[in-house]
Amino acid sequence: MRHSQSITSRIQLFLLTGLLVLGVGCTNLAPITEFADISAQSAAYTGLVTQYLQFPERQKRFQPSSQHARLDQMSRERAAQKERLLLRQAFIEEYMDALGQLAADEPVTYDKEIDALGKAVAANKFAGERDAGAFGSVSKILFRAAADDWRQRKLRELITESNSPFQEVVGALKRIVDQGFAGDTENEEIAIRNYYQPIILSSKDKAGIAALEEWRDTRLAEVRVWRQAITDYSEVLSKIASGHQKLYDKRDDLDNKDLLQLMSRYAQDLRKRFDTLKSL
Amino acid sequence: MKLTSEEAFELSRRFRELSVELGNFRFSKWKELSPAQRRTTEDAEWSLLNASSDMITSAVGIVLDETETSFQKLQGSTNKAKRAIQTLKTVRKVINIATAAVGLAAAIISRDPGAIAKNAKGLFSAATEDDT
Repeated sequence: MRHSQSITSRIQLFLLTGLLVLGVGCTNLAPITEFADISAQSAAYTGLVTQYLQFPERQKRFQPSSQHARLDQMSRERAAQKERLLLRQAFIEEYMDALGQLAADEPVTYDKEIDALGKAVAANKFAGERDAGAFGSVSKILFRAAADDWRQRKLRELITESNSPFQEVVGALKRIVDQGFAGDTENEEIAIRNYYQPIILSSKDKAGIAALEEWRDTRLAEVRVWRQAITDYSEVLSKIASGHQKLYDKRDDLDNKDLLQLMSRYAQDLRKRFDTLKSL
Repeated sequence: MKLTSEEAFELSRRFRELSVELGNFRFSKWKELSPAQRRTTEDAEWSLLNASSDMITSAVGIVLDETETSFQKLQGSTNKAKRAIQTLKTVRKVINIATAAVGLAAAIISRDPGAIAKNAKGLFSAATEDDT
């Protein structure tokens, strides 16, 4: 009995010492995971790259055949960029996914495993049931605290090391979207106008003109949907970059309440944008 | 001379503006222009519009080139993060192995051949289980 009390006291001391050494409590970084997860999903949206690649082929509908060889050449050049463009998106997705997993509680909760170990110890008479229970409780807290501390350190290292290249890569993708993909939509509108306007001006048939104007407006409406997707995706990239910058700014205080609330808001905004993107 | 991505995007905008200007001229003077003049203007418009699109293609390529180093760095960081996640998963595996080993040790001590075989199998499973 005295022996058992002694073990229990030692365990309590072990627990206290362990927690003091680790100097951390268990933290919940769920909002960071949430932000990272939705960032990963949103960054993976490839609809705009598809539009960019198909642009020259689509232009053939509006442009004279004398321009088709040039458009074919443009198609080939854009097709050659496809893999690199998709790889950028895929890597932003992969990076955010890794960040989210490091911030997640799930991989560092070993409670079930430790319970099983405690039971095995007791069942095999290596310790009394009471000691085995105490061992389990202590181990759970210490494991969790240690893993939590390690996880936060790795997360901090990742954010610190990656922020600068991450901002550059996301910024570059945003430039491509804002100036390249959006430029395509402007060129598409001009092509639509150039195609329909001469026919309308040359026609004397009022019903025919009305029908042509309707067709033109339908085409222009399609471009507006595409432009909306560009605006939404650009916003998504801005939010991802800005959220990562906030994490970097507070990297030494990742469980800061204000930061976690902000990450939650960012995640909500991203989810809204992503839902709109998916519906377009 | 090598263009920067910003310069390429700027050129794209300029070509587009020129194409629009020509289009506005053609449509506003539609009745005054001869069919040949319209055709010549229209050809120039399409050429300028395609020059604008070509500059977009070039600019996108330049942006990708300009940020290749940062992209490589980010790839390195992502791989490091993945290894860290793997370590977290390995910890789980180690505890599972310890649990199985405790059972095997008890079976060996008790000299129970049936239990030894069963626990050895359990230990083997814990040690070889997939981390993913």
